[in-house]
Amino acid sequence: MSEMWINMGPQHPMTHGLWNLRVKVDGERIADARAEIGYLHRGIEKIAEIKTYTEFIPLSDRFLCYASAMSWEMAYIGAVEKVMNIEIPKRASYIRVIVLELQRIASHLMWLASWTADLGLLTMFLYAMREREQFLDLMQMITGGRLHYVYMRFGGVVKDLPEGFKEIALPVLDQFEKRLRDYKHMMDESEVFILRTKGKGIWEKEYAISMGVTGPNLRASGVKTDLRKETPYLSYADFDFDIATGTACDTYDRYVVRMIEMSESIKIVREALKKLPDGDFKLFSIPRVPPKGSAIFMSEDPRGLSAAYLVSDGTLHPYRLKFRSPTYFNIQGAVPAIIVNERIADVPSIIGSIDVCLGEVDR
Amino acid sequence: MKDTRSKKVYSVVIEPMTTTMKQFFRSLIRPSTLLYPFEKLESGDKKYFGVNGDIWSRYRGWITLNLPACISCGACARACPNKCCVMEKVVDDPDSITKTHMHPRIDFARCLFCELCVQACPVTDCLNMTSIYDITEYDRKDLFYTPKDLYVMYKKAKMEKKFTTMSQGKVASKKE
Ligand code: SF4
Ligand code: SF4
Repeated sequence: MSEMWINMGPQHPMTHGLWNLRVKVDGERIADARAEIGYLHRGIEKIAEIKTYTEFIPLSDRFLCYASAMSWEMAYIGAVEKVMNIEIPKRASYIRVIVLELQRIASHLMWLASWTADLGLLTMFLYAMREREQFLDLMQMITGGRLHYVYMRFGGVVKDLPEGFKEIALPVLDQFEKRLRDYKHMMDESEVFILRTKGKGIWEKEYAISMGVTGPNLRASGVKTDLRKETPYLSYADFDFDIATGTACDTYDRYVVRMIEMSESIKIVREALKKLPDGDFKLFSIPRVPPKGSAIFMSEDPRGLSAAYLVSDGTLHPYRLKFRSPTYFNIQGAVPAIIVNERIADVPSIIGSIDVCLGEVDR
Repeated sequence: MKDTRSKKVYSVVIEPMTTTMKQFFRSLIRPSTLLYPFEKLESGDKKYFGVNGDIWSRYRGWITLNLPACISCGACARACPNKCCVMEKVVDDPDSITKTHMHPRIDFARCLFCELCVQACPVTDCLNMTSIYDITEYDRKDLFYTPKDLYVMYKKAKMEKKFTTMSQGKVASKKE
């Protein structure tokens, strides 16, 4: 059988964005693959240089990953705060942890929905989307936005948690935890699901590390790493949670790791709401512009390690702002390594399992 | 043999069926979706599947301007990230009471609904956000709102009590 190249993308239901996966097929098997990115390039790092620091906050959550806007806001604001060298109040950092973890759940649910739709499990797609709606409602209650929050400011957050948020959020979390168990059970008992995920898309541990893969994908390959535990930023050191890891390095493990992460996030939110200290939600005496200097801030995005590198020259605008997006490295590590020798019908499920978000790849 | 089979029937057929049936009956009581153009999501609405609380009190929707209260300071235009909120001269309007008659106009086709202009406004109850979310037009020129149009929106939103975030400045508004 002769080999041939097939374009999957840039407009293809599998891509979850706009990129082109070129695969070389030998019959049913994948012999080689190439990733072509760049369709969504908007020059965000250059735009940052003509915006003032505050003006860039709304853009930082729009131009990067739209499914986890809050964590990118955190990356940008964390870098600016590091240059300013300020310590945010305890309450502000607790509120940030709450919104970041709610965002993680919403982002993982978005992944679950799109990935199960790839697999053809449309029931799970609808359930996950609907559960996500509840978390968007909670976010709307706190921030006023459903996707783009513009909630954080230098030195804290823009508004305090609303009155009675705890009483509303806790039942939602309890209910979701129960349903998550139901859903996981429902999927695990599905033989088709197991056949299509177990042992597919093996990502070797050493290879993943060498390609800079991070986040749930790396944890599923058996590396116990999580920035929230290793170099705790914000108040993550105060909370008790586990790092989920896998052993088999396959698609199924990546799914399990994310499912466990969601329940760990529920635990963190619950604990943070319980321990929420009184005090200011924002530091009011902050410098108007950061002083001369540079800093790099790294945080644990739902997709992996995200970082923002800021160089400030003491003017109103950033001199240089660089983002490190986890998906960029995840795609590089995934193509072609984890899809060669798989069947072409499995490609959407394997690529879907690494949680691709093109907004942050092309920036 | 028989035992494992009945176990399998339970876990493969009955249990997933229970999960889906539960969802089915739940959605009869509280539907997950709306027939959008006919039914609309309103604040305080508990009919649909969502959290049981007031999720609308901070919503960042359509922006309105209380024209008589505006002091033409231009803080909103300076705060806007993509300069879609620009000062514009209002001619022949008795509601504009400042000397320069400069008031903000907003191009909603480019607005991010980021609330920075509302937070910058130094006057109480002047530039407000509402929970109106579904104003669409056939032409994007129609999304270009002059200060007068924004004032019309203000009066409409005030009547329907749609305000969410109001500008919180120190200066009290001059005219009701
Ligand atoms: S909401 Fe943001 S983008 Fe829209 S007019 Fe106000 S400052 Fe400008
Ligand atoms: S900031 Fe408020 S008072 Fe000043 S020009 Fe804008 S709307 Fe008018």
